[in-house]
Amino acid sequence: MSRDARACEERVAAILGRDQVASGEAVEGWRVGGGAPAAVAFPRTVEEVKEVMTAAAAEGWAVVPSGRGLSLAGGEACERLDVVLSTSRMDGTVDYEPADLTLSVEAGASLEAVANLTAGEGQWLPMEPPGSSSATLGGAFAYAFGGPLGTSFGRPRDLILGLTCVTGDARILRLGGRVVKNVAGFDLLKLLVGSQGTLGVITEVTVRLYPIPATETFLVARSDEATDLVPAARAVATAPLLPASVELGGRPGRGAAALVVRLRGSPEAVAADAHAQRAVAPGLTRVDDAEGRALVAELRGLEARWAVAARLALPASRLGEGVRLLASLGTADADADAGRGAGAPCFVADPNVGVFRLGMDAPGQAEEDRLAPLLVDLRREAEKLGGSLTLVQAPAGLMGRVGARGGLPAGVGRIHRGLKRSFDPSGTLAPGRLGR
Amino acid sequence: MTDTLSPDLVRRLRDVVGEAGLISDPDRLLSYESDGLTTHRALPGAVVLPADTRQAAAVVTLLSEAGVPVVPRGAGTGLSGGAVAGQGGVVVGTARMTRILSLDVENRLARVQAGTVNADLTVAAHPHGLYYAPDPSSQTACTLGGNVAENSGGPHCLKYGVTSRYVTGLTMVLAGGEVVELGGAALEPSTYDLVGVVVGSEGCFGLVTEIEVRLLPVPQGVRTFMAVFEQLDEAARAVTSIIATGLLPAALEIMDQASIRAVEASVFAAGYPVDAGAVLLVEFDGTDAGLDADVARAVACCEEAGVREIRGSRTEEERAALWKGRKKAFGAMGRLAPDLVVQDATVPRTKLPEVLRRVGEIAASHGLHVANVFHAGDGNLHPKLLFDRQKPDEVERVKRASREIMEACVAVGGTITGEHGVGVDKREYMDLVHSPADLAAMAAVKAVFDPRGLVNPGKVIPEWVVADPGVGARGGAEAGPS
Repeated sequence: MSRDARACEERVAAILGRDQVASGEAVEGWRVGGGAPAAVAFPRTVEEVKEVMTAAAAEGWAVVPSGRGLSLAGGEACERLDVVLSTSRMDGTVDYEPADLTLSVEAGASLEAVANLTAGEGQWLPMEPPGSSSATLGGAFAYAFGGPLGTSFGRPRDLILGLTCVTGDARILRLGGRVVKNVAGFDLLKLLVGSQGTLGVITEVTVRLYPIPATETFLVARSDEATDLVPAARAVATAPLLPASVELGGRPGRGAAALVVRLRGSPEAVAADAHAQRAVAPGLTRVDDAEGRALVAELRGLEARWAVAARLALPASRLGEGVRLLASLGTADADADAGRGAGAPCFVADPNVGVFRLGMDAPGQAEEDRLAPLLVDLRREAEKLGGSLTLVQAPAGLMGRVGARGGLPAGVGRIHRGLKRSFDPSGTLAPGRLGR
Repeated sequence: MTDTLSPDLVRRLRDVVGEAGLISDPDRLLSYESDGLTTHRALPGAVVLPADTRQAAAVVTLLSEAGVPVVPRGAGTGLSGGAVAGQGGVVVGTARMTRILSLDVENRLARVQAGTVNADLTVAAHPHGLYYAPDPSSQTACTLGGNVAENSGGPHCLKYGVTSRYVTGLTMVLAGGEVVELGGAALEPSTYDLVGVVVGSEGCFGLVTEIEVRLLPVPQGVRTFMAVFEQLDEAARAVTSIIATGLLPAALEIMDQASIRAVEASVFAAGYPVDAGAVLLVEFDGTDAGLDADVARAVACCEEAGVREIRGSRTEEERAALWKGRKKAFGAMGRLAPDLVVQDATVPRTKLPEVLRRVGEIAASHGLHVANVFHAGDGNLHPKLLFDRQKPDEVERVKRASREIMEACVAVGGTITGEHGVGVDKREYMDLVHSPADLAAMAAVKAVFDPRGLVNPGKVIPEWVVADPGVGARGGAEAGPS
């Protein structure tokens, strides 16, 4: 450990106490895109977060906010890194009034804990971001990756009512509120959601809950080829019905594709919707609830099984084109089977909005060398269609070569940089992330 | 900055927008003196009505070069004085930008010019089985540009959410005249959520000229019924019980006795019983097969709460009549007093009965009449205070009562505006809900979009707030190409 790193770690320990800091070997699980921090800070209150951020701004440390560190290792590297600030020990319930359908929790509360708490009242937070349900709410909103419920219940930005954060220069801001309709001032809350820790450390969130629908039913169509399911997927997405979610999962050229439609509502409505969905897409058949739930959970956990995870966004009507584009990332089946390169990526697509989540492996330098230009090409093709390709997790070398995302759209660069400066004037928070 | 524009500037503006696009005759400017909240008035230096983004950019460039403030304006139906031009500003209106540019049925997206009237989009989308969900009560007049500025709600946002959920992209003219495209159909942004922060910015970040929105399929079925209660409290209890049962109605609207009587005495009479303490409108939509069961469950909740009478709507005409009384309540009040202020605040739903009682007490203590119409499912209240602006004493009492109502709402965890915005009217209440640090951060974000403070100045942020000193000038976007 370098002298600077030791000084940083000791300063954090002086602020928080020794039991709220990890250093040395204990930081291994908190690497950010390959780089190890000098210390991991585990504050317990927003005031402690403020103290750490005050020290960071004064010392010129780079701080990467995190929940449980689930997205750090494979994620984007930062230009500098001194402290990972984890809110995982701030996981209390601040306020829960079931009759108001609102919940305020500290940012370190996990999605799973929130689900358990609210299920007791027959309520839920209809947000199923990709990845583990042990992820924290703070992390889920900081990344704001949409899940399959986005079209029916709203995206993460539509479900959050308020948050508390600590800015890069250690100001505590309380944005939004605890009521479901609120236009008192500029909606800075929206900036924090999806800002990936670059504008502030989220310490508390208030979310809008919904009653858990009485019935849940799953309809599934299967095929050896994902392409064969595209017409049914688009038919479901463009029918005058609003299912809870529609997902198309598969792997071009590698068999076992599935279209999964989830219906939620009153028993009467769900029964009628199931009938109507089958009229729209005759290949759909009802599966038992346990099988349906397992299938949805498997699709949600896609990223966890692969070293490389990405999101391809296209206009929804380009679903078929998206599946074909993914095939271009694979090598010929024979080569893949012989261990030379890999097949096309595994994917889950939301036919409502044209977002594909991809998972693939990149075992070794040769495969990284093969994939890097293909991913760059895929991004270019996506942008031509008005879409984008975001690399969410990848080995550091591949991430570095492809870049997490394309350039900022024309004309917005200076607004983007201006916003970053207004929340984080000295570039303390996750420097380099989300562009400069 | 002076109150009269230089003849040269007026001529150059006219060169851009043509004779029909420029209003400088003082008599005609009078109709731009206020918005729907008539207590705030100021005559603009001129009104410019560009026909498209290109003209809008040219207009903003000219005004920016002359250092003249730009005040964006839609239909002028706003209720917070947000589109009033003080300080010699020029109103840039969207009245000539009313085209629906595209209807992408396959992707359920529409692209419109900012002056498109909210209801017109739904009319255009309807043949394709689609509609635009946010439905403010003024939807037959208000523009989508105005909806974007205010992040408008409406009775149906209980189930469907407010404007921000539906806006996917914006074309905006920045303070210096440059045009930026924000967002886009692919919902995986590579920047901060700029669309999200511009929606609800009350025209203070730039002039929005084009809007891309998501459309929804028209629900298969709708059921609307009216529940009549002797007491306002009982209606509020029924709402809480409906929500607690796990039902998600499309709308839950309450009108109190004063509002009922105003509607029934007007041309908008909807057949509401004038002796009732309150009526509750309940609407469910979605899969037809589930609706009767939902209605039965909701009716049971109303019965538990002591409902006097349930009236269903058997036909579309009956349903429209039930809604007409609600949506036109504001207009109907016009005959009760020369002037009225519609207040707007949101409280946690469970605090509604308590807050409504308090609002009644506050009005009574100032000798004022109050009528309540509100989005009960969202906890969004609209107390209407009746007065006569020729009587300075009454105006003063309305001001005091308004502040006390805001304080009462904030005291129970609510906020000072749920959908009408801050504008000029509520700047003085902003510190009831926001700390100085929060307000400074808002001012700093405004400065990023509008470093010289030329776009809708004097709105939203209280005058005493300065952008965070730690950010100050550096908070502005730097010059030069991006």
